[in-house]
Amino acid sequence: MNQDIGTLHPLTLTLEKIKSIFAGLGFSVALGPELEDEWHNFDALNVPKDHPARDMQDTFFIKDMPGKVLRTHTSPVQVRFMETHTAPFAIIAPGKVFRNESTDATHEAQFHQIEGLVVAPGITVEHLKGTLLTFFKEFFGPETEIRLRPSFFPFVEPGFEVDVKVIKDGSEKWLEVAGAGMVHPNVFKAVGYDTETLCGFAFGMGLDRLMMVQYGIPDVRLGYQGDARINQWK
Amino acid sequence: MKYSYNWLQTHIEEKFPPIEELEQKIIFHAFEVEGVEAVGADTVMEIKVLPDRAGDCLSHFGMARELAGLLGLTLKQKTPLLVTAQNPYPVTIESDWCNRYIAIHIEGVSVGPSPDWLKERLESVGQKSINNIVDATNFVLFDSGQPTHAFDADKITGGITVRLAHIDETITTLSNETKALATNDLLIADDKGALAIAGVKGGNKAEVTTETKNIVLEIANFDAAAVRKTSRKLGLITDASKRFENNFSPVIAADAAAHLAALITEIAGGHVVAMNDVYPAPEAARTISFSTDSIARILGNSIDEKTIANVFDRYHYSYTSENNIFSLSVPYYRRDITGAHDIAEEVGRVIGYDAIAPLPIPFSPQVHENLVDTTITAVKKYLVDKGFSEVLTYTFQKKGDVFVAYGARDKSALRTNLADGLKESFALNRLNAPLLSVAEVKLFEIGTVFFSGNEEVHVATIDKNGVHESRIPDFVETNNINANELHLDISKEVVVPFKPWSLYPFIVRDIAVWLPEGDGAAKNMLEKIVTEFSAAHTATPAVMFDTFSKEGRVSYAYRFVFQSSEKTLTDAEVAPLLEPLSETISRIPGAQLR
Repeated sequence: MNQDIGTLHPLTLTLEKIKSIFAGLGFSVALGPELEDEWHNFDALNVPKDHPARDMQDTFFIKDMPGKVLRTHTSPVQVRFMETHTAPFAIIAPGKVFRNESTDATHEAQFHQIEGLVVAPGITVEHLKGTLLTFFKEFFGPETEIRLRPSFFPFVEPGFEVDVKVIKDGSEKWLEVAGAGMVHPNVFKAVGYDTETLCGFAFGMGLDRLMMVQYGIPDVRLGYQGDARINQWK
Repeated sequence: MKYSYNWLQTHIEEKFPPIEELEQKIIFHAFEVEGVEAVGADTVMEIKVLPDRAGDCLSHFGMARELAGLLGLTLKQKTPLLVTAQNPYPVTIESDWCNRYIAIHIEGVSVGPSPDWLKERLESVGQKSINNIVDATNFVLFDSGQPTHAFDADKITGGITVRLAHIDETITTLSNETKALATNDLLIADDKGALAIAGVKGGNKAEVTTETKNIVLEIANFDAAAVRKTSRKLGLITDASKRFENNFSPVIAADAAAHLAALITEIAGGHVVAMNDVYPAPEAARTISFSTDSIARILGNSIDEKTIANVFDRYHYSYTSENNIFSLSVPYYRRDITGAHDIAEEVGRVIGYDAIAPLPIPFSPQVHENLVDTTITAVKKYLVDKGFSEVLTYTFQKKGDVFVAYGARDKSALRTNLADGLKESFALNRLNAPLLSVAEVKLFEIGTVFFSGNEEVHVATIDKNGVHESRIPDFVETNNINANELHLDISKEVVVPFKPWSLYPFIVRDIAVWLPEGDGAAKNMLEKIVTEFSAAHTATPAVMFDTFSKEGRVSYAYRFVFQSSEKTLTDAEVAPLLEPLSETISRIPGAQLR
């Protein structure tokens, strides 16, 4: 091993792999701020004030800055991108997100997500399934299968949990790895898109989760302690 | 919410399928089942009902109705009950936030223990039995989804008024906490003062006790946002407030009221002497129209008129369809259904998403470079090539310009620099230096920092010469980095599983050997011996940390790191490993240990 070359964090390796797979499918990268406003983080995503859906994510509000939050997901990048671009397009948006919850081996107050959004006329659940299946086959291997279960995220309808079947230690396992759905008409309305002609799908995945599955890392917190011993792959 | 299998069964004519089958149906067509547990002779499922369905499914009846549709079973029709009384009970509604208020005055009850069947039902879903009156209200809550409340009628002065709190008004709740109220908190009051926080919690003023003889039952419907605001503000999140904030229909109040009154008179005696049902704006029936095409547009072309009709038939929804145009009478309890996208969800989940074929996206998107992203990647490549290793530290620090609210955490500031975190990381990693497969500890982090007006992405580096931090564009300029020329090569990446690090100290041993200069075969033998030894015995791959030539010979120095995951290693344990290694190396032709 060449010791004159430094090592990358496995989260970076995971992200680069994901980016290269999606680049092959024609997806561009979009980015957004970590300190967000409630409009982009909630309202524009069909999560109204005083609605129980706001509790689905424990939010860090900012002291003395009303209306500001640490983004709880990468979904506000969807809104920012649509505000400044016209369809059709296909993007992924990676980034750090924050949740005000107690931490354990699978929960951290800061973690990373990657969001995907495709908007064009004629987009259906079929294309969401096709895109995710292609991605996960490239990421986990050609034997990978996916399945969709009904779920609810305010910014999509219908909404799904996405499970992938991976072979780990010689046995098959279904792992919950992503949330997804068809863009809710209220999100299109919030950004001034035509809900009659356009359709879209969105998905969100936990980068840390994919890293943990890919590299066999047992505890999400190991990644954020500034400890280079986690960089075991060059 | 916890759902009892036996309780759900009481609402269904046919026998439910076995629990495993039921669970799979629920998971793939409706909700996440978070746990299944045997409770006595019953089985209880913890089902995660998300906000879209919380208005109709946070009850055994509601869940049974959903399951009847999914499984093609028959929902038991409840015998319609009517509460009748000769006298009206005085109820005044002063706020738009009360959609409906039913009051039932019952005289001559005996407060006492509940019958066993009722205790069992409540205990199966984790509720403690208190007395027959309270248990009856809880039963109706978990059965119908309608929160209800019982007051001691003799402790009410005059009648019931639903109004906003007065300035400086307070209430002492049933759990004896006194709460200060504001003028946007909705109250149930009598002529003298507050009796309950509407939709949230009862007060102790008209509490039902073992001495209670006469009661007033409340079966009401309050504004979802108003209940939510008050309950959050007061820190009182109750089974009642959770249901009200999910905006269930005021229609169900009548049925719940009749069942509650019947249950109480059955198990606690007494008779209804007065009642009232104030329902200022009864909910109007809703119809939505949509085309088959508007559903196929979302789910795909395999969806036709028949598929949609079949789904509605299963649930006994009332609709018409002609030439692929549907008109659906939305059931009053499905307040979440507002348009075609909601119907698409219903159809999709009922037929199952497995039935939808995967397809590639129907256009060829162009990849547009994101300069910020490619620049960050290029900076990482540049630094790794220079021997720096990447770390990630926490955004939350003790000091900063921007703070998160609720300062319960010891670190509630957002970092203004990466350098502080990186210095701590450097100190930690220097202690572990021999465990990192690098010649010298050099670290970097790329991340966002926060100032009062803006956020910036920074890069910071640290090594023995100190720490440097700059904005990404400045770093790129100073170091003359061309983002187009530096790409991370991840194709060679070999995935070997993560190796957890030991919490015990490690021991470092160096071995140096002279080999004849230019003797490739000897060098290969040495590398093979070292690699094999390292794979078998050391904590990290052995590294060659020094080499130089002198008088026709080359010196190679290797570093071996030993560490146990179970104990602190001693010299005496490592020496027997190293002796045979030295022995093997010394047998390489021309080799001489230094």
